[in-house]
Amino acid sequence: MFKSLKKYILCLLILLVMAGTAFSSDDLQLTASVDKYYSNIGEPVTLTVSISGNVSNLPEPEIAGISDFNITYSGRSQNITLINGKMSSSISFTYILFPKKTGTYKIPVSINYKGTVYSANTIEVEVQKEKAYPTPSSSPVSTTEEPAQQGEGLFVTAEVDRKNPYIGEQVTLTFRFFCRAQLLSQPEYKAPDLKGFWVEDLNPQGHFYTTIDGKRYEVIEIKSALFPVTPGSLTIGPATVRCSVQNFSKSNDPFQDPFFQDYFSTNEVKVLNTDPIQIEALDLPKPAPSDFKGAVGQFQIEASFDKTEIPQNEPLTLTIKIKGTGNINSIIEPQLSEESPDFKNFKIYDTAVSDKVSKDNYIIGGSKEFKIILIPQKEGVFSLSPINFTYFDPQKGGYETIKSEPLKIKILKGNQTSNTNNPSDDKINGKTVKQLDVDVRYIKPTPIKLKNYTMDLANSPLYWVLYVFPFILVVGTFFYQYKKEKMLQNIVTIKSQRASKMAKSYLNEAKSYITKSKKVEFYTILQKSFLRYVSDKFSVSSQGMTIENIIELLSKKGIKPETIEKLKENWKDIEIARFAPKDSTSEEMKENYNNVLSLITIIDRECKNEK
Amino acid sequence: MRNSIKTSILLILVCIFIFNASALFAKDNNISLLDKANNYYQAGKYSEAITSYEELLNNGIKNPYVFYNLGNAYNKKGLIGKALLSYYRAERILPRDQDIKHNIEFVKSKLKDIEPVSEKSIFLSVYRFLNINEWAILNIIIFFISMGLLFLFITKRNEIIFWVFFSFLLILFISSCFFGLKIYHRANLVPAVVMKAETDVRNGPGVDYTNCFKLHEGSYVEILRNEGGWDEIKYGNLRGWASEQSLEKI
Repeated sequence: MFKSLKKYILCLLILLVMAGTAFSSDDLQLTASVDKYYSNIGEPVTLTVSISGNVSNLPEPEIAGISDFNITYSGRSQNITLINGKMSSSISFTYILFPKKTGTYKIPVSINYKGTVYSANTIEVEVQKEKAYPTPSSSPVSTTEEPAQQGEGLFVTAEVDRKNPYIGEQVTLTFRFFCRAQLLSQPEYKAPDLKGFWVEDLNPQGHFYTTIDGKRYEVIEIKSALFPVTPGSLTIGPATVRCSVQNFSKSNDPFQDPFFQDYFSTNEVKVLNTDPIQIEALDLPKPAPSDFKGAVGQFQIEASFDKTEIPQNEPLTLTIKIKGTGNINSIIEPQLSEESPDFKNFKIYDTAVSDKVSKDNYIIGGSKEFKIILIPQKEGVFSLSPINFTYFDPQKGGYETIKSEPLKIKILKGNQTSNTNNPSDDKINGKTVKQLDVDVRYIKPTPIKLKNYTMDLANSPLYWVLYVFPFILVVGTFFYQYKKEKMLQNIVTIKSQRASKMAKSYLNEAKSYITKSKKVEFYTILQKSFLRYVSDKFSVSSQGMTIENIIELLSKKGIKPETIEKLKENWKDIEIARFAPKDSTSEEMKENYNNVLSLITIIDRECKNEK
Repeated sequence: MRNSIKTSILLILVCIFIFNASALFAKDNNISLLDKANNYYQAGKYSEAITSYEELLNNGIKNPYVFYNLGNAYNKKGLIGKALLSYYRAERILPRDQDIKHNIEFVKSKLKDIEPVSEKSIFLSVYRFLNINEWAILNIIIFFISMGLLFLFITKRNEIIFWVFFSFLLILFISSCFFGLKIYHRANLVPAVVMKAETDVRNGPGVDYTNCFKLHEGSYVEILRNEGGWDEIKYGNLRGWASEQSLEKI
């Protein structure tokens, strides 16, 4: 029973351990890459294996031994990145593979880590035959070769194709790096100090193989075109190459066997320098022709117009093209003289310059184009005499002047533009060039009084205060008028309100005449009172008021038609009574009196209701 | 007592007289200085003329004829930047003077930079027709007339008067706009002339900013603002920053 328990516990433990390893799964990711997928025998291929994940204490990956490659372990590097707080690290292992045979090979990469085997993507490399490169035994006019360092299968040379150039003449500097050893990294080239020269790089870099003293070397060639700028002694400084190679120990160690060399080698960084080269730049022969502007080389010149005929005042393009070998950049525009008889009838404007540099066969050359805008002023047929261009030919050792072909151009009669009222005005690109009088107008004479123009009226407070006064005045007047009208209105209102009261007091006077039996006076005052009432009530003048006016007024004011009818009737009675020959009885008078009174009351009431 | 009052009054009068006399005298001094400067110019002694004109300006005289003559003298010496500066200053005071305008056009033809196309509009012509003081006076006159008409209208209540007043009110509105614009421009749009033979106009206020375009002596620009020794300028449609020493304000 005990035994079975032990077994049980053991199984459990094993399971736990296995589970433990399963849970702490250290996930690794392997990526393999090469710097080139096609190579040649003897040309090294760099294989980089990157492992990311839990990368502590990783062993070296295994590259399944391929007998057709010499594999050298070059080193490892660790890369840690921190992105948004997350840290990830990866380790890269570098190997150098030297193909020994042609063919296509698969390179499997794997790593055994903590019991798990991780594999990378398989890389396929194709190995071709050696490329045949021409050996540099037939170099042009090579004067002296100056090898910098012998031994250990590495050296550099620098040579020039001429040591006594003229200024502005191309000197080709060829730098070569010979290498027999196995390089572990891309060699670094540092260009020499080239003070006193204008430099143009020549591409492409040369790469080939050559045999010297029975030993095969790989050669890298870099060419530059140098143009001396100043005459005299100039020095091309040393060029430098840095590279790292395998160091083979030189002892007579029994272990110095190619078998062991791959495993017991160290890296060494080598720096190789060329010796400086002295150049004697020759000055150009003097005296130089007057129109020589510094161009050195061999050139041709071409000139053309963009049209064969053109109307006046329209732009014409003259293109001058200079091409050949030499430093194209330094060519200066050939001068067109405005005084020359050719250009008397043209106005010369801007020039646009463009150049094309070519580097065929490691010789600098190309073409430069000058496009000059001309505006013909007169109609007619004009010919442009040949344009001269003088340069120095170093091969001939002398100055050459080349001419373009003469050109003909026909100028047609131009369209009459609106600017022709002033024939000396020109218009091009919106800028009007005026032919003005010869000089500025004369100075002004001394005045009697020298006035000082301070121009600060807008700043003086007095000015702004002046604005305020009329404004206040007007506003004051406005208010005054308003008040006045209001007052008047009040008066009118008051008068209207008191109209009936006033009328009643007038009527009282009339009443007195009833008892006195003074018919005429009674009726006169009766009517007058009514008229006055109407005048007060409706603020109209009582002068020349007739009953018709009153009727019109009352109906305008909205008095009821019945009331107006009543008024008409009563008034008629009053008129009859007033102008009748017979006397009016006191009852009649009283009746008329009451009628008028009631009318007044009715009208008053109706006006009140209206409001 | 009486005597002391008399003497004190006399003393005050004498002081006033002396003050006025000295003012008159000073003015006389300036006129003779101007005469001297003009004589130098006539004699062809332009450098001396320039010195005298500048002295006159230092005395505080701001006179368009002085500016104009100074401009002429600078032009004779070939200093087109300073010449144009003086002409522009004269033009500011007398915007309608044909001599000043002619000379500006003449000297401008010597400029290296192509002048930016300026819009021609009636608005601009009217705006430039009067200087700021003239606009101020015109404005206040129209204002007075309008107020007078308003006063009439309030008292007379005539419809014709109202319409005349209304039209003057419109004219006042237009005139105030021009006047206001002149005041605003005087404060915010500072015109200047490039003084250096060639100056780089950059994309920002400092030498570490890239170049935007180049300007040459005599070009007319407008300064928008200043930051740390650099002025932001407007040249036609182009904008950039130029060092403040390369410009001089009109």
